[in-house]
This record gives sequence, structure tokens and C-alpha cells, in this order.
Amino acid sequence: MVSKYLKALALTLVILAVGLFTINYLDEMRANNLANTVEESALELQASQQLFLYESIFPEENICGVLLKRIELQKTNAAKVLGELETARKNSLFPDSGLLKKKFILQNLDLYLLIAKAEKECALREVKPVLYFYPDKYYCAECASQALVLDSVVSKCSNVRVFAFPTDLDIPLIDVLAQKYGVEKYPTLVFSGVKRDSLVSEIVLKDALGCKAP
Amino acid sequence: MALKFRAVAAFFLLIGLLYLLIKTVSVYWLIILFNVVLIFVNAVFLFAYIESRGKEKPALKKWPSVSIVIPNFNGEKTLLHCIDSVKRLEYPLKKEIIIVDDGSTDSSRELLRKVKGVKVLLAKKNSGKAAALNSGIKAAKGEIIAAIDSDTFPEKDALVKMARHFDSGNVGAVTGLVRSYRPTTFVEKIQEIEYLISFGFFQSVLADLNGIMVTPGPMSLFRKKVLVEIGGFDEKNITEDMEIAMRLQSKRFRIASAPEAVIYTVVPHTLKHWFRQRIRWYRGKFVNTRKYFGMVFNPKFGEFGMFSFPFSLVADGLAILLIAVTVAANFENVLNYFGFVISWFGSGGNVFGAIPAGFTLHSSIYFYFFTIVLYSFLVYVSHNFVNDRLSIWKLPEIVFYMFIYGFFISFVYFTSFFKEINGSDYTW
Repeated sequence: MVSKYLKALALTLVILAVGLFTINYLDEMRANNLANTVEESALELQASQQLFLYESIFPEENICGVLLKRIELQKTNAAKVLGELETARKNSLFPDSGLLKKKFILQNLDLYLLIAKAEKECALREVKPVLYFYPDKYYCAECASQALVLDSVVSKCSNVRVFAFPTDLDIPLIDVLAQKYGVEKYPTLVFSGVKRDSLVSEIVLKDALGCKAP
Repeated sequence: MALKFRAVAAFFLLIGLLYLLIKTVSVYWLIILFNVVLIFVNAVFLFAYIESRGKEKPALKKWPSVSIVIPNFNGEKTLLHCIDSVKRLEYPLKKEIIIVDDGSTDSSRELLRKVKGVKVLLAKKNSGKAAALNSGIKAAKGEIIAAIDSDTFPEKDALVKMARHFDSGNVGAVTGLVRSYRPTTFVEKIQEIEYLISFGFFQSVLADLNGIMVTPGPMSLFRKKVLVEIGGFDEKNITEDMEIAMRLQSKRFRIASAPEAVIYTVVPHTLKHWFRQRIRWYRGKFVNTRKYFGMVFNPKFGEFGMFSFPFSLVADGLAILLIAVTVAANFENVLNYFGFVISWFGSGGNVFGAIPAGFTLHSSIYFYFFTIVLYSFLVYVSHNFVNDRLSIWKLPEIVFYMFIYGFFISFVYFTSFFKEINGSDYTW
């Protein structure tokens, strides 16, 4: 007769295997959902970039009307997706979101440049960008709180767009921006031409950005 | 008592150890590992339970004589009720009832003067429960000693059901199913669930594994010859009921369990009293573990030495670590959330703004699912033991027991551990 200890060991191993399988499945599901979001965002961006390409070939055409509509349509919340990527990385037993995250940050930079260009060429005044600098490789309690505040502001103000820039991921353009704004402490926010290097509350942000309800 | 250096050092050592564990091994793999060990331990209990179901009930050739010893200290509120319950106990032979008043300062002695048919021993000064029990044992004539607390009321068939387990000379003690007496407060109701699981399911299965570590203070039966042989109760021990069980195990006597014998006892009715009682119990466990540590993984002591005792220590340790690690792992999120809420309060936003939108749990949390299934089964089986129906009205205490009780016990363990290291005074 098999001893109760062996039976217990067998049952425990079965539970462990089922548990790990379930966790792996859930992690994969979470990663796939995020990959789809990032992919959708990439397609939207590509569509906007095509407009500039079109303008460079046919300079006599005015793309501003369509471009402003596109930027308006691009509702993807950059900070929110980044937050979800971060959550997926932290909350997965088998994390697989590192590359996805870098891809998304690069897209985010493209979007920032696109908006900056639209601001210059089409006098875009509707979108209020907030640049948010934070470290990716070490924990910063205030940054995490700041991210939650930014999420909240973005959900309440349709005219605000947050660009989250992790400064230690070795991305040249982020280094250039960090140098430009003299980022030394975290979190650092740049909005309405002002640099703030401590936790900024929701009320201050909403006032400074002229928050417009969706 | 002032905080001593060794307690502070132990605290930082433990925190440091936990931090090191979290940083070197992924915190989530630790959670899984701890859960797996706990699942294994509980699975052993489960299979032991399944194996024991078809076992024949013990049969006695001759009923032993019984002396009931009731130590009392300031038990005026419950003493008469206890004596009444004890007198009503059914037994084929005449029972001897001895009440040892341990220097009560309330009206206990006056009450005892009016009680007929019992032997009363009066101690001049309060010397503790163990000393009172020892003097009662000395005066007792029965072959079996039933030690009963003065705030305990056994069901009338409890004695018969317990005594029949002395079917072999090797059985040194028998325990019953201790239940909370008329639980009304939430704290009492939680203890009702806890007692059903601990003294019902676990104690019964532990008896089959020869692994009982406590002969519950409210009521346990002992073979007098064995008690005399091993020197009676340890008068210096704060949990004499655990110490005597460990000593019986160390002398290779068996402790049987009779979960069919129901014993009601008054349990702490406030959180403060409950916490204080548990501190005493767990400090007692630390003391007795130190005293009998030589039995751990010692094959000489059979399943008690190889499984029950070591795994009870492992389970205790893991329960603390599991909770500490889970809290540590989610501490960052809690901090972030508070940072956000503080900011939100300044914004004049609506109430729903304070609820985090993307609240997600770590994948490893799903492992708790199996532990929850296992515990649900334990709750169900424990109620089956006493033919109690699980009603929807018990849901709050069951939910508390399954999800929050662990945190409470973990906190009690931590406090007991540091109080013991600090050498703080014992409080009842």
C-alpha cells in the first residue's frame, strides 16, 4: 500500500504543476493583450507619420486639418499603457514584457516628436504634453505615486497627454531630453514650460494644464 | 519591561534575513515554495484522515475508575455550572470529584462550602494551575485523572467517549473536542471555527499520526500511573497542557483523540483577551520547543519526531514568512496607493477617483487558490465531525478565519517571539 506521505507528495506535485501551468497561461494572456495594445498604437502612429511623408513629397498640400484630427483620435493613453506594461512585468511570474516596453517607449518618443512637429507646423495648441522622467531600474516611491496621479489626470482631462521617459534605459533621445531639462532628481515633470522635481498633486497639474473634461 | 538589546538585534536580524530572501530569491517563488510546503503538510493530514475513516472504535474490557480534578482560581462565575456539568457526566463507575481551590480571592470558597458530593482542597496561596492539578492528582484514587478547568462544561457523554480510548496500556492521555461555549461575540465565533478545525479535524488526524502536541487544558484525561511515573505537571511551565503532552511523547506514550466527545469552554470574548491568551500559548510553544528540540527529526520518536513535530515547526515558520513576504511584496503598491490618495484628497475629485483603475494581482497569488480550496474542505470536514450544519450565517467568521486569521496569528507569533527573546513578563 502506498504510504500517505507518498500520496501527499504526488498530490502536491500535481497541484504545483497545475498551478505553474495556470500562472504561465495567465501571464501569456496578459502579455498578449498588451502586445495587441502596443501594436494598435504603432499602427496609429504609422498612419500619422505617413501624413508628414505625404507632405514632404507634396509640399503644396496642407495636412494640418487631417493631422490634428488624427492626433485627436489617438486616444491611446501612453502613460496608462506604460503603467500596464510595468504592472505586467512586476506581477508576472514569467515576465516577458521587457522588449515590449522598450518598443512602446520608442513609439512614445515618436509620438512626442510628432506632436512637437504638429505644434510647430500646424499651430497645435489643443494638446498639453507632460514630460515625466523617472528611473526604470530602481524603485522610487514618489515616482510610483506620481504615475498614479498622472493616470488620474489623463483620465479626467482630454487635452493632457503624458510622455513617460525612463532615463536609464539607454535611449539616446531620452538622454538628450533629460539633459535639455536638467533632470537630476526623480520624479521630474515638465509641463507648460515649467520643470518640477518633486511629487506634483493632481490639483496643481489640472490648474496648470487647463484641464478640459472629456 | 524595557526593551532589551537582544530583542532589537533579533528583530533586525529577522527583517534582514527576510530582505535577503526577497532580494536573492524572487519573492513570488518564495510565496509558491511556502504554499507548496503547506499544501504538502495538509495533504498528509488529508490522506491520514481518509485512511482513518474506516477504523474500528476502541473497545474496553473493563472501565477504569475516574477521578475528576478541577483546579479553580477566582472562577466564581462558572464554578457551579462546571461542577453541575461534571456531576451529570455519565460513567459506568462511581466518579471521584476533587476541586482544588488555588487561593481564590473571589467568592469561590464560599460557593464551594455549599457544594455536596465533592472533595475540596484549599491551597493557602495561589501557586498556578499545574501545582493545583498536582495536588489534586496526589489526592485522587482513580486510575484515570480527568483534568477539567472550572470554566468548562463537558457534554454528559464526554467522559465515557473519552475513557474508552484507554484501550491499551500505552495510551497515556486522551483529548476531546473543545468547543467555544455559547459564542456570541465575533471573536468567540472565530474561535468556534478555529477550535473545530484544530481540536476536531487536526487533533483527530494527529492522533493517528501519533503527533498530538497539546492535551487541551479545558479537559483532558490522563492515566494516573503514567502521570506519577513522569513526575506530574511542570509547575514552572506557562503552558503546562502542552508541556505534559510533549513529555508524554518524549516517553513514548500515545495520546489518543476522541473528537466525538464534546467539551464546551469559555473562550476570550474580546480581541485584547484573545491576543493575550495566544501570546501565552505561543510563548509556551517556544519554551517547549526549546525543551524538546532533541526530538526533531529523531527516528527514535517515530512519526512524532520525523513528521508531526518538525512539520508543525516548519508550518509555523512558513505561516509567518508567507504572510511577511506577501505583505512585503505588496508594500510598494500600498505605499503608491497612499501617495495617490493623499494627492487625490487635495484635488476635490469624486469618490471613485480614489479607486485604482488597473488593480492587478501577481500571478503567484493564484496559488492561494489551492490553499483556499484545502481550507474550505477543512472547514467542511470539521463541521461534519460534530454533525454541525454549515449555515450562511457562519460566513463572516469562516471568511475571517480563511483570509485574515493567518495575519492575526502571524502577528501573535512575531510578538510572542520577541517577547520571549526580550524575557518579558507573562500575562494571563
